[in-house]
Amino acid sequence: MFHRTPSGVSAARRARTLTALSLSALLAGTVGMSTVSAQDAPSGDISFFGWDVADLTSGLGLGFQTAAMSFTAQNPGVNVTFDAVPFADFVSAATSRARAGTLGDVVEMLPGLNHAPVFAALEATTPADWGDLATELSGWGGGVIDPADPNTVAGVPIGGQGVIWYYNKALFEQAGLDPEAAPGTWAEFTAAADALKAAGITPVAASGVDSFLAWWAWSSFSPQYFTADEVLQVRSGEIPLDDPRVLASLQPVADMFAAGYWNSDYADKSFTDMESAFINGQVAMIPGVITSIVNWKAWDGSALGPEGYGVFGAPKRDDATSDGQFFNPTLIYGVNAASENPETAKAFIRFLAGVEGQSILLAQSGQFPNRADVDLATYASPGAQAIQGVIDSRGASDVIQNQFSAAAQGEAFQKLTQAIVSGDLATFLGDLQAQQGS
Amino acid sequence: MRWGARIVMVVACLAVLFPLLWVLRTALKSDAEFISQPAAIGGTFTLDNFAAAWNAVDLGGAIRDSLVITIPGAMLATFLGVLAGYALAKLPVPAKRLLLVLAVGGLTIPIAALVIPEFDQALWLRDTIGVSYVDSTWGLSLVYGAFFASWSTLFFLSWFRDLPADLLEAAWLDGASAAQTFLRVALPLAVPAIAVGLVLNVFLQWSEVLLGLIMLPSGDATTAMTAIASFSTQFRVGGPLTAAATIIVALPIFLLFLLAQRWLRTEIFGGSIKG
Amino acid sequence: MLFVAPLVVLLLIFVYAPIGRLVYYAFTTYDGLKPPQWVGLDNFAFLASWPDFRRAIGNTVVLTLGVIVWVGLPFLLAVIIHGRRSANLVRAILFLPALLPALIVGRAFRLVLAEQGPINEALRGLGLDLLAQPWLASETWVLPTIITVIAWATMGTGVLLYSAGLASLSSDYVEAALVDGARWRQLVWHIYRPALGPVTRFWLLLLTIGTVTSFFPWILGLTQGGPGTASVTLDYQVYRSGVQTSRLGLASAIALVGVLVVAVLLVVQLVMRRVRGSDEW
Repeated sequence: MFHRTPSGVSAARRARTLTALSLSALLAGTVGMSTVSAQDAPSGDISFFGWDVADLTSGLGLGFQTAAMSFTAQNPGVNVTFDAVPFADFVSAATSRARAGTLGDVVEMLPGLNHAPVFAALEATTPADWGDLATELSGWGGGVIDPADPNTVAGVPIGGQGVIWYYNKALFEQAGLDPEAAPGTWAEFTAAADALKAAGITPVAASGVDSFLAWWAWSSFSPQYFTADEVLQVRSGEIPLDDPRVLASLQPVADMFAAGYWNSDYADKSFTDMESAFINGQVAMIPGVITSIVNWKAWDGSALGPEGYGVFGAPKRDDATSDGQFFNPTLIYGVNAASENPETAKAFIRFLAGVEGQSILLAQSGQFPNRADVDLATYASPGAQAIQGVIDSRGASDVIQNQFSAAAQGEAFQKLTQAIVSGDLATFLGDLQAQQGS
Repeated sequence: MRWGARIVMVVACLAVLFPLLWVLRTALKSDAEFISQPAAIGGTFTLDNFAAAWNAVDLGGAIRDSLVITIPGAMLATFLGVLAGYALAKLPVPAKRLLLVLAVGGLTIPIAALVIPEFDQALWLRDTIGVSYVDSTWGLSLVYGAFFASWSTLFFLSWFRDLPADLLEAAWLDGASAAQTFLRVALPLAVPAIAVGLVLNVFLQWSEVLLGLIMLPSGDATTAMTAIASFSTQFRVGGPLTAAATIIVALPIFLLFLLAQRWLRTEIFGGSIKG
Repeated sequence: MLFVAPLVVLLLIFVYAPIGRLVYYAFTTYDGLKPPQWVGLDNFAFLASWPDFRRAIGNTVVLTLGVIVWVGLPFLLAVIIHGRRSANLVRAILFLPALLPALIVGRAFRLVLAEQGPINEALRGLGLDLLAQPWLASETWVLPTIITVIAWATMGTGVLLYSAGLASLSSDYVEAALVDGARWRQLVWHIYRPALGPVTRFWLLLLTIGTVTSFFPWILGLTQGGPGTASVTLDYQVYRSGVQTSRLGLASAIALVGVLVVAVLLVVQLVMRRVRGSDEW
């Protein structure tokens, strides 16, 4: 089905593949070859479909490009091409490709319900189908197709994602706080924020243009109120979005605004603006997904430097019922049900999910691994290791971030910041429930 | 009045030029400078962003694909518009009002609502008769041709309506058929307007976002607008790189208008629309 | 008849047949992958109870009022520029934005109108801090700002059209009025405005295609509907529901309601013309 002519986009990409081959050889040498027995050596052409691969020169695109080169170097009969679409239009582009028979063999998706409309086009699978990966990888829950059958998933989880709170040590010191003592409880958090505010420092970053920071902050508190099982119940509708626990997890974010901790120009800021502001010492604390490009890896090379910031898990609320830290896959990778080369597609996913693949993604793109045996010391900075410390101490549960349908999530991103500012969280959650149910 | 008019003109020109120059200035900034001082006029001037944008996404390929799609698409829309516009303006066509409503009616449905029905129909044709206009540049040209024929028709209807009737009547009296009159008299007169219609069509089709994304589902061909949209992924928005990419994608249209400016100035905008 | 046949055939195949499907989808739930399922009027019932949808209709109507600016501004500018020595240069400069796709114009103005962007910094530099606004991030300012940006982008084309119209006006006509002692304002309103009526009609037509029924690319480039839902238009909501989250039944229903809104606006326009008893603009 994928008769790619040697002209057009793929040709341009192929040319780029050749120029970068030397890099792959270098990496293969440092990371070590994975062993592939001769009898099931994958072969043929596969296409990788997603949004991260629009730009193969930076971000996750660079990691995937490098991983693909290592994989093809080890499997000379294989050729990997990339097919990228705009992130915002991913669902419609994926479904139309599936119906036209042109969907890539390997399909990238966000975990949870975000890309649920695409699941029907993929080969349903179970963790057991993937051998050792079933136990080596965490975050399989992110690919569950139907909450009634948590064992059947749309794809393999690759990369670790959680919300970590970052703080600027110098600004803490400037406000008379101990730069090595990150807040652990809500009381400690508000004490620190108040001290920062008193010193004329903006305590918490918020971004009204995209609502991402408020969303991440919200996600960071959710595990204090929901177990992994309950998260699936939110998704199946057993727990509606107007459940008091949903409100309880959102309340701390609203409290931060009410206490005046947000940057005053939040309404005009995107999250990338605020990450820049954090690097430049204009704001003391920021919630962040550890795979965002301006994350610990990028920050290490910035004005901030690897020693300039610390991390902490969402401060514990008084009414919290658990101590979990949300930690789920960054992305899940499914195999197109109509793939003409499913075995090679699976082999590539295995490669990406393995130690070698995840090491490449960590080194090239700063993507945090979701397996314990990736050598953080070699490939990651002190910042990444501090993150691992938080995960170890708080418990890296497989709790997924808030489980909304794509419609409800779109609604949330559109209105979250406004809802917090207006203070009418109940109406907001009611609107979300209407979207989730529709 | 004299000085008032001058001030208005200067202010209007500055208001128009400033945002354009600002995008150019941003595209020439380094990322670090854009982050720390987004409003600074001075500082470094670098062309690196243009090279980086060009390398990051296959902009050259996307521009070529867009040209391959929009030039035939513009020709088709113009062809349909000239014929129908002429007939509606100058010939005794039955059910004229109904035809006009048909031509305009499609414009009331947003393209965002029509992309998936259009795609579904294309797949259905592929599955039933084995021929389809999905996933090919000529197929998208056809779709664009039809979608943009509506306004094309109104454009040429308006143009031909202003064409003095006596020019055509002379030909009629000589015994020429409707087709002969059109070809020998009306068409030659309309050449400059046709050039303008073509250029505006290329521009409108070039600017379209969604059909270009959905109707080309293999990704072998990518329109310039899709390439620009892909450029801002989940975790990257705005900034000098995006500014550079938008300038690159806007350049072909600027060139097109430069080439066509003779007709733009002297014909359509130079006095053919009369009161 | 032969002249119109190709247009009719292609419109029926590529525009009206899909519209037929869209009408059917409006009564189904459909995600683009699994076959549509008939749900009767459910989508419309949901829309009736959905506050965001009412907001989208309101926003669309408010933005459509921008037509007054998009027509009035170029008309006045054209009259002012008319007959001056630098007229050609000014017209050429004003036309430049017409060469930019709406999406790109939106991106450009995100830079220019940013909180710490050049406009606000300049205002602050002049000591006019109070005037500095988060133009695209304020519930109050976002719709007027979008109208202004669209005016910026379309002004040049309008000026060219009106200038052409002015050039073709008989100068006797104007001079006679001047001899009668008409003041500038009267000249503009009683002479130029009615005389340029055909240009206005044509310009309104172009504007309708570029903006009123397709705010989508402007909104996508400028605000993505924000802050909150303060700038979500009907066709942007169609994009959000239909393309971004694959609820095609709902999106189709919204599109159908949108057609109704356009129809109502057209009828209002017609009635206004009847009431004023003339074909003038």
